Amino acid sequence: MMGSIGKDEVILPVAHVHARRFDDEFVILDLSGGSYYALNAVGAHIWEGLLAGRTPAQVAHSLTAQYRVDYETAVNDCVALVDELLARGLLRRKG
Amino acid sequence: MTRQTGANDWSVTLPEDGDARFRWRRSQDGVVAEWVDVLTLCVDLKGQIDCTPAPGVDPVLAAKLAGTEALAFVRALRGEPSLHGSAVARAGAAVACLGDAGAGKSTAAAELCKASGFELLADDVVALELSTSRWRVLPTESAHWLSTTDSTVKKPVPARARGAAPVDLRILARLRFDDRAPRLDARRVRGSEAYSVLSSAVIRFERADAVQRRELDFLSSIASQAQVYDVIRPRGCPAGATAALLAEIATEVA
Repeated sequence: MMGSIGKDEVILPVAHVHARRFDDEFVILDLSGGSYYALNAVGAHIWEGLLAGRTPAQVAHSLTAQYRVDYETAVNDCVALVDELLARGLLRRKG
Repeated sequence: MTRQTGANDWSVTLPEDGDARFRWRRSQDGVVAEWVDVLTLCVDLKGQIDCTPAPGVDPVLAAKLAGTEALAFVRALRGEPSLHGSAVARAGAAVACLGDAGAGKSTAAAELCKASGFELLADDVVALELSTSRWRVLPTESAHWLSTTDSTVKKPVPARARGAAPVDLRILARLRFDDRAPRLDARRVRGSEAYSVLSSAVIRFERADAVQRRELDFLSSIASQAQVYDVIRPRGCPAGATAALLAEIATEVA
């Protein structure tokens, strides 16, 4: 089993996932499993940042600009969410 | 992150469920859909539609099915979305009432037409079209289907006023009864909760990936243009009160 994602790694989308914004949240449809996931506003911010090609560290920086959160907390939260998304097969690591 | 299942269950019976009420298949000649003992629908490769009632079936029932579920089926083949619900319009704004069977969708539509100056667009299937980047409800039905006081079987009641043209969809209200609810209440829902409400109303006939992707795109677009409400009331709440609340919301949104 792979360890936690590095904060400077690039994350990629996967083919069987389709996501769309609903107000300030994101709904992620897993077409392979028939279930859906919901991300709150912060999760939606992270999701959009990752899919725009930014690393967790870069996304964390943008979180500190938008929310009242320090960088360490933001990057830890970001990595934790990415780990969960990877574990559920909703994203994949580059390489 | 929250994970959920269930909101993507089909709202229309599929053949693999083992329920023979409805079934459909593709063939080399096109598509055949059958509402067993009521109606058979054939769509050939050129898109020509043939709708044949079963022998001895009530022609009013067959016509109702042809104008609702069969309509939704043909629209789905074309990639056009439909929702299970009723819809009315006033002053250029359409209100769709969603909810499970028995939630009061038709009754709410009838009350809105009777007391608040709305016109009927749909009683059972809300057919939607995208026009100049706006989702509009097509006028598809001219009668409310309501239960009478002495029977639970629904019968058609001609609408006092019927919409003649497509109307911008502005409000989607999911109606439901909850006897724990102290009173009638309407709550605006957003985000994934709006998705859940809308997803449970989509009329689906297949699970292909492309269909699911298109549906999510559609629901996201709908949620960005219209307001979604959860309307809860205890059983026994007068239908007129529900309609009055919906009319009030429509006035505010307009």
